[in-house]
Amino acid sequence: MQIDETIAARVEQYIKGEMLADEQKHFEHEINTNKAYAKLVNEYVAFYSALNHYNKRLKIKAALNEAHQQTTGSVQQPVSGKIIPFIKRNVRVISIAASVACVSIFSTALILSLYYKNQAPKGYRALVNEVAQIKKSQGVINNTINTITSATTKKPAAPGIYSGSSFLVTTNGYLITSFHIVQNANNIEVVNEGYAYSAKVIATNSTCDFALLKIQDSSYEAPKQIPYNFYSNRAEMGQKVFTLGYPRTNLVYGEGSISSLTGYMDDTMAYQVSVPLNPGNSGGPLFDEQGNVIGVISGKQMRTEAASFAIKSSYIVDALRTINENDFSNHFNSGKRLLSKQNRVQQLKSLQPYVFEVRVIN
Amino acid sequence: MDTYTDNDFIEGFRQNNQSLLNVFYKMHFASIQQLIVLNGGDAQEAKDIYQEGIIVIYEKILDNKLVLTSSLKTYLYSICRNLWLKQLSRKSKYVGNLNDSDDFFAIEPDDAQWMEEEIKQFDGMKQALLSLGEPCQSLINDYYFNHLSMADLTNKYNYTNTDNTKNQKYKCMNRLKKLFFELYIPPVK
Repeated sequence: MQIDETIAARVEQYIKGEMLADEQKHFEHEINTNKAYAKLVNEYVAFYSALNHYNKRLKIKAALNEAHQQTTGSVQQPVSGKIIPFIKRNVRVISIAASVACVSIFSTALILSLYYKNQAPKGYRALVNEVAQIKKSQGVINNTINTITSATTKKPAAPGIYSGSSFLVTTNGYLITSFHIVQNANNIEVVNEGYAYSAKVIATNSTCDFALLKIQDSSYEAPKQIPYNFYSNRAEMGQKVFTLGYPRTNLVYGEGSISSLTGYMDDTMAYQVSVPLNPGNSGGPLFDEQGNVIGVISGKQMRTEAASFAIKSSYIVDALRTINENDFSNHFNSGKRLLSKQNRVQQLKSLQPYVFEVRVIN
Repeated sequence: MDTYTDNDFIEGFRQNNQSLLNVFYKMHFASIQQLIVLNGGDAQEAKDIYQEGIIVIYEKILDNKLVLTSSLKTYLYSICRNLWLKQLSRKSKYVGNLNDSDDFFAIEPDDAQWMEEEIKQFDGMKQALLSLGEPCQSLINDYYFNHLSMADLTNKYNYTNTDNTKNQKYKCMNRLKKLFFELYIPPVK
């Protein structure tokens, strides 16, 4: 008990900055060398900071209650239940269609990451690329330092820990990728033509396995237009399709056809495609021959070669339309369809600035 | 009516300017009240969420941690929206979509967690203080929140000398600490 009191007194002095320099040195030395002592001190520090925090909040609350009185008048209004809204609002009507499942679960990143953990079916391998880390960890450290020192200049790309693909959907830097790539990500970089830009998750949808990212880097100059749009009709079986993605650090082209109108375990939200895909293709666009986006690559069934899946574009568009952020929705799906008259080589050349590698560095 | 910029308000928060706070409060109350009331809440809940949202901004400003990527209005709305979604999910009423009248962005998971911890910590301390009993509750209140000196406390509580007061205060403090950590478990870092 006696010891406890001394510690309490010391911690109090320490927090208030009332300790003499010598005393402080001694105190810090004891914390560093005596684990049991450090544990006790930590407990007191946590307690006192909680007490200070409580005090601070109480003061703010008092100020807010005064403001509340000013706002609502001194007499407490007897309000119960519903209040007539002050502002005219637009009620979003969501049609009860097959897409409801996909749309209604659309929400913020945090909530969905909780649901997602239980959802990935067995035997279905997400196409996330776990990049061999051994030789590269040195590079990660070096590049992290670069990130800090040259925040506004273009950065050389850092080797990531997880990687996948993504593609631009607006001219102000919004990208689509797979949810499972950026799930639990702390630090996201998107890489195009050797340059890395930091990006952040704006919204996620675990049901449709996609996420909306935004490039947060002042050095990034977005192209003036998007040469494709999302195709809102269903693709046909046998239709020729192609993809671009980053199964490794360079852009790789793949082609094939729609082999089924349903995905893994008869999932109606996905197509099965006969494009040879590799880990890292997840999040990449699936194009039809005219260069319309008809899907987003999502995963690969284990053991079955050449059976890959893509989430149908119509589901993704429906979900994206519910995003209530003008910065995004004002620019979304306003592409120009510039690819339809081009041959494949030209198409791929045009598409290069729009397809990004995603690197998640945790 | 005077018009203020976001920076004026941020400066106002920093200086605890009550009249600016009143203006700010009045400006955004309707939109948050609407958000809550249209999504299954009542007037009291609207007030609580709104105040909680402003406290987040307040604390961030005081800690120099406020990073705005949008207007204060959008920021406040997004925070309140997140807080309300949390509350709905706690009540198992989460329906998937909210009726929104304003722009918002998704709160970063780190931030959301921080907000939740702050509230838990506050509630823990509040409960601990309530169950502390007298004279400890008053003693701690006077020492920590009203900043009375040891001599003042000795007088007020009729202790024989300041050492005795100090002793009492530590005893109370230890009881409070014990109660607090029974109610609140800090996250493992």
